[in-house]
Amino acid sequence: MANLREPLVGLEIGTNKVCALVGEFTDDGTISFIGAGLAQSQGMRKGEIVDYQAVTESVRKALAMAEREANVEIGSVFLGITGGGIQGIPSSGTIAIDNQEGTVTGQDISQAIAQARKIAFPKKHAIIHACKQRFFVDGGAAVAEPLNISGRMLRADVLVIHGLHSRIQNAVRAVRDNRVEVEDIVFNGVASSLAILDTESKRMGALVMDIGAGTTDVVAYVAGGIHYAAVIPVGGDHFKNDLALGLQIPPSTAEQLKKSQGRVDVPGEKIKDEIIPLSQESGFFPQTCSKHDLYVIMRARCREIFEIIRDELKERKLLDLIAGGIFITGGVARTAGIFDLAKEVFGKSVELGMPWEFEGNMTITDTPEVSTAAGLVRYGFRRTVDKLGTSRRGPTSFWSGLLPRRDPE
Amino acid sequence: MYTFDGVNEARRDREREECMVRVLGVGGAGCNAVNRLAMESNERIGTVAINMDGQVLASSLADRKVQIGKQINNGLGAGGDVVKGQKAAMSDILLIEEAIEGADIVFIVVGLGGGTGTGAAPEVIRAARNAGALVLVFATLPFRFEDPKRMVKARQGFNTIQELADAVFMVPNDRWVDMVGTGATVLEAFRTIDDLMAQCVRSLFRIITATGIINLDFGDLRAVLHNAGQCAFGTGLAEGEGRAAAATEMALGGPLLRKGFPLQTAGSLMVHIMGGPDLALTQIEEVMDTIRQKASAQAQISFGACVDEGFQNRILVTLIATDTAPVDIPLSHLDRAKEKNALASDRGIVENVALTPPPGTVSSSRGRLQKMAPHPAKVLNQELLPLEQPSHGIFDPGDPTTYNDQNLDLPTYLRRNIALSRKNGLSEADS
Repeated sequence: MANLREPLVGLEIGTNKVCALVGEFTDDGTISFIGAGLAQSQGMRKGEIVDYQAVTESVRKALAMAEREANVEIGSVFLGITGGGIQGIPSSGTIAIDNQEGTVTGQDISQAIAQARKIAFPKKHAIIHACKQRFFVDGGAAVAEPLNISGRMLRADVLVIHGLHSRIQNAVRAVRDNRVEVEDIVFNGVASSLAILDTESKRMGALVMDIGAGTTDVVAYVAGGIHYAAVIPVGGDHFKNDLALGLQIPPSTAEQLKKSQGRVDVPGEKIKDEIIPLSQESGFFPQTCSKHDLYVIMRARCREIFEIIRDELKERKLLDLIAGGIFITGGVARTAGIFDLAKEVFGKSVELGMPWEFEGNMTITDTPEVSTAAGLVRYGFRRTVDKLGTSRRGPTSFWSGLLPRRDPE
Repeated sequence: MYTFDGVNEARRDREREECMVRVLGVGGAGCNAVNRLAMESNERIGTVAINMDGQVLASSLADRKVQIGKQINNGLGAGGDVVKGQKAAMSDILLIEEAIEGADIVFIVVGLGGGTGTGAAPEVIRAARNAGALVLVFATLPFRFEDPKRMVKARQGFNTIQELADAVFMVPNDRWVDMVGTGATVLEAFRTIDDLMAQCVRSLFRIITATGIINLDFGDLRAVLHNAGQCAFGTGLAEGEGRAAAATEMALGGPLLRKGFPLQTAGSLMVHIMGGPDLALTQIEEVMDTIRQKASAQAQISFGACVDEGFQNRILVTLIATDTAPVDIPLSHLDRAKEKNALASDRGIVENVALTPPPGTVSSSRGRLQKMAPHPAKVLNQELLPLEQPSHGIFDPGDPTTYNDQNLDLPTYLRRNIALSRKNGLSEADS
């Protein structure tokens, strides 16, 4: 039985890196990281497994490194899931409240959510989360927490996040093949949000865009609940590829250039003629490239990603409901000029999202790249707290509304 | 050398006497080019036209015609859709295999950028490799003035092809326009490209089949071209006084060899000289010296020469340059690269340079020894234009990410027609 004394592990299999973070619960109720394992990710592309063996090996490396540093043996992990095709569909479930007192119990809430999960979604897909959005007791105004309210009917509105079953299974298998169990699967976007958003932001409405090498994972909160979840299989690697093709240079040079000099600003008049020297050993490739082109190519790609997300939110009438902030996290958040560009596209100010309220003296957790893994650990602890709480009287209200939960099968 | 499996045993015996070459034109441009060869009707060079468009095939002169994708597209062309081209080839793969059957060398000619050629060619290459043939590809790229999307498709197709085929000869159409001159009509330009392709096939064929003083046979050709990557070739024919120098000059001046520039980084070269009964040793020396000067010290040079009655007072020089593994290798192909590197370092050096320094000449020998260190794998310096990145782009053209009818894997600046200044500083080869 899980207990809060044992360390937890969050594992993210990214397109560029595999990250395993080991955290433990401290006495003052915060999470402290005691070990991290990072391995170069091989065999992933656009968030999907294209070389299973290679992925299994990368996972092994990351887990081994984390075990050494944290000085623990990893038996199970909370696994982050991504991939194009992951989407959220709104759904609702209604049940009758038929206990003696006529008030909503924890069991009623669970049942209503279970009802909401019975939704038609694409064949070959499986549910990853059913995220609570809001409840209605006998109609009326929406409530975030219906526990102990009296009434006869309870309706739960949720966002069902689902993804291709086979992809999820492959990721799980890659972990299991390393003789490690998967405690639970979590959508990466949900994990990142847990890592970087505080309660206030979620209540006011917040947008989180985790832009990694292979994918952009998006989650939007409205009034404390998740109302949008999606994956756009476009990420840092697309910037690299665009540069390679546009500047006619090898991908490795493009990657280096992107990181060292890449910006997404509008190239000003002054830099129109500026040339960047490239180091190429053979005379075959260009020795220089235009700074103007570098910016233009990166800006176009970055803008497109933001525009797609903005349009998705507008279509669902969610953009106006986000008052608590727009956050970019993930490796691409380091791109110079990205926040200004995002502000242009979204019309609201945009900030860097970083994992917060975590302890442990590891510099690695002070980076946007590990938001997902950090969030997975937080998710893990909340689930543990939840499980301990449920055995008594129902879900701990402190966590509800914030925690996308998997209902007992 | 190579280990032959059972299937190839019989072939090895046969190839000492006879070598079957088959030229497959894939897609519209490929089929046109193949017509050129078909007109010469050499029975050991079989021609095959492979296309989706029934009408184009009807007018083809090839020995054999294969229509692909009839079931899925009703005999129409691919309309620029690479995925359609690929699917068409896959759906009629048996027909393609039949057409390849029995060939030792499969020469695939394709114009990249459209749908059928770009999509189907990789499948044809795979089938030919599986059949144990040596696979050589002659590919052209779109003109610069064509739709940039074609160029992107062409590049991606080329990268795939380069990884699958043994050797690739690539002609970017623009380069040729430089050579032909501003006055040339479009038809003339296309015709010269077709001629170039035919010349390439004929040269290789001649090298193998001509028996003479010093033979190069199919085995030698395969040694040079197996897993060779990008290649260049050139031929020069001259007569009269000073013909050795003139022919060599011509061969080096061809559009793919650009005055011998690629030779500087070429890992291996194959030179073939055809002369009349009056072919002199000094002429051969002249040709070889000129070429050797341009090549790097580590290059492996294979040489063949033959005498033909009809070549009195004339000399024909054919030169093929190849290199080994490309610079950026996608991880999943790391093993292939290792194989290529192993081949490169296994080859000895043609000149008999002593590996141990003779006594009393320590310093100069050390200099020599250093030069003999394995040549680092490089891309052949052949072209200024697109497809410099030898590695396949990161994304698989057959598995695109689409959103609102846009393929998000293609560069955004391209899809949104955002202009670039294109101020690329190109190398000193910019002559």
